[in-house]
Amino acid sequence: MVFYLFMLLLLLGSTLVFYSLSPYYAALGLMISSLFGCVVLTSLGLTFLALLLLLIYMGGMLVVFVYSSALSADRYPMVSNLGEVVLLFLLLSFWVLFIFEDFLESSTLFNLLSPLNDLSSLSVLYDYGGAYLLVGGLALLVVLIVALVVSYGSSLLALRAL
Amino acid sequence: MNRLVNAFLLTSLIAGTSLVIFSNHWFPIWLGLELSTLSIIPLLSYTSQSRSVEATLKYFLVQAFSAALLLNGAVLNLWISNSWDVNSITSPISYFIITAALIIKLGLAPCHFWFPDVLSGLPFLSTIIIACWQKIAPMFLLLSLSNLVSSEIIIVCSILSVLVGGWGGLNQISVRKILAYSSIGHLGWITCVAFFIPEVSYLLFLFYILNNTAILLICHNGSLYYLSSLSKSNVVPITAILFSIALLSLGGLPPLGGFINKVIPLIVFSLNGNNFIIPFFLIGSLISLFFYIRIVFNTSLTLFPQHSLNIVSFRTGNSSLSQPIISTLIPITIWGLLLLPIFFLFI
Repeated sequence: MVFYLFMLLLLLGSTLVFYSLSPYYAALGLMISSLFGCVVLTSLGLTFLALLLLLIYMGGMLVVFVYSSALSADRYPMVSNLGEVVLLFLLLSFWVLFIFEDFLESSTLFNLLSPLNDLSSLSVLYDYGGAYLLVGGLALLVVLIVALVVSYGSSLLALRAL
Repeated sequence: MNRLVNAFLLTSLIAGTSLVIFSNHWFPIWLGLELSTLSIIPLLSYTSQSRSVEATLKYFLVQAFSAALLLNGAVLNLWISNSWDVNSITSPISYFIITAALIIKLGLAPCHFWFPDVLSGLPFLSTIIIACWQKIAPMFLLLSLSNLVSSEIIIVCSILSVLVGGWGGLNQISVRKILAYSSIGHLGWITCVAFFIPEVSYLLFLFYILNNTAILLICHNGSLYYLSSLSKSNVVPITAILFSIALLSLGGLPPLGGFINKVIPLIVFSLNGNNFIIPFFLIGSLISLFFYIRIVFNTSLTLFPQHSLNIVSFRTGNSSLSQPIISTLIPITIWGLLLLPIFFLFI
C-alpha cells in the first residue's frame, strides 16, 4: 500500500513538471519525481539502479539544469500555479483509483523479490556487454560535441546570449 | 563549420544508421536512431537562419519522440516475451507501438505532417540527408519486422500516404514541399509491398532513394527552390533534359525506370488476389503525376518571353562535385526498367 503512495508521489512530481508556469517549480518536480522513482526502485529490490539514478540524475544533471534555468531567468517571472497542479494531481489519482479499483486488493508480489536483484545482470554489462558500454560512451561523446556546436552557434568565441 | 567537426558528425551519422541495420538487440537500434538524429542537428542548423533552426527543432522533436516510443515498445516486448531480440516480436501491442514509432519516423500518413514543414525550411543538401539517408534505418526496421508479423496497419497507412502525397502536392509552389509530398506518396507504394513480400520492398526503396537523390542534387545545383525559378535557372542544358526525365521517372511513366516502383507493387497485389487496394494507389499516383508534369512543364516545355541570349547558355559554372554523382544516378532512371527481371527472383 505504501508502494502505491510512492508511485502517486512520482505522479505528483511529473504533474509539477509539465503543468507549472515557472521553471523553478518544474525543476522541483523533477527532483521529487526522481527521488520517489529511486524509492520505488529500492522497494523493488533494485538498489544499484536507484543509487545510480540519484547520483547522476539529481547530483549531476539537475544541478546543471537549475543553474542554466537561473541564468535564463526572465525579468518578471510568473507567479506559480501550485494550487492548480495539486488539484490536477488529485483529479488524476482519483480517476485512476476509481476506475482501477481492483488492484488495491491484489497481493503485494513486489516485496518478495530479493534485494540486489539487479547486480547479477549488471555484471553482464561490464563483461560480455562491454561493446554496449563503449558504443554508449561514444554516443555520449557525440552528444557533447553536438551540444557544444549548437550552443556556440556562429560566433565560435564564447557562448552567445541564448 | 569546422571541417573536423563536419567529418566527425557525418561519420557518426553513418555509424548510427549502421548500428541500426547491423544489430538484433533493441537497445543498439534505439541508440543508433538517436545517434543519427543528434548528429545531423548541427549539420541542419549551422547557418543560424531562423527557417533552418525552426525546421531543425521540429525534426528533432518528432524524431526524439518516436525514438522514445520505439524504446517503450521494445521494453514492453521485453516484459511480454522475455527477449531483447528483434526477431521475437510476439505480442500485437508491442508490435503496434514499435510500428507506430517507425511510421512517425518515416513520415507516412497519418503521421506525415512534420515532413513538408521540415523539408521546406532546409537547403537542398540537408534535404537529401533527411529525405533519403534518414529513411534507411526506420525503413529497414519496418521491413524486417514485416518479415515476422504481417499486420494490416501497414496497408492502411500506405494507402493514406499515397492519397495524401497526391493531394497534398497539388497547390504547392515550393519545389521542396512538392518533393516532400512526392516522398510521402512513394513511401506509401514501397511499404505496402512489405505486407506481402518484404524483400521486394528493399529493392523498390533502393531504387526510390537513387532517383530522389539525383533529382535533389540537380535542384541543389540550379538552386531551384520555387516553381518560378525553374524557367530561369542556368544549369547545363543536358541537365535540364535529364531533370525532366528523372521527374517523369519518379512519376512512374512506363519506358522510364521509375515504372518499376509502380509495376512491381501492382504485380504483387494482384498475385495475392488483393485487387481492392489497387485503385487507391492508382488514383494517388495519377494526382502526383500531375504535379510532376507541372514541374517538367515549367522547366522544359514552356519558353517565357526573354532575351535570346538567356536561352542558349553553354558556359555555366556548374562543374561542382555533384555533377559526376548526378551523371551516375541518372542512367538508372532511363534504363532502370531493364532491372525488372530481378524481381522475378523473389516470387
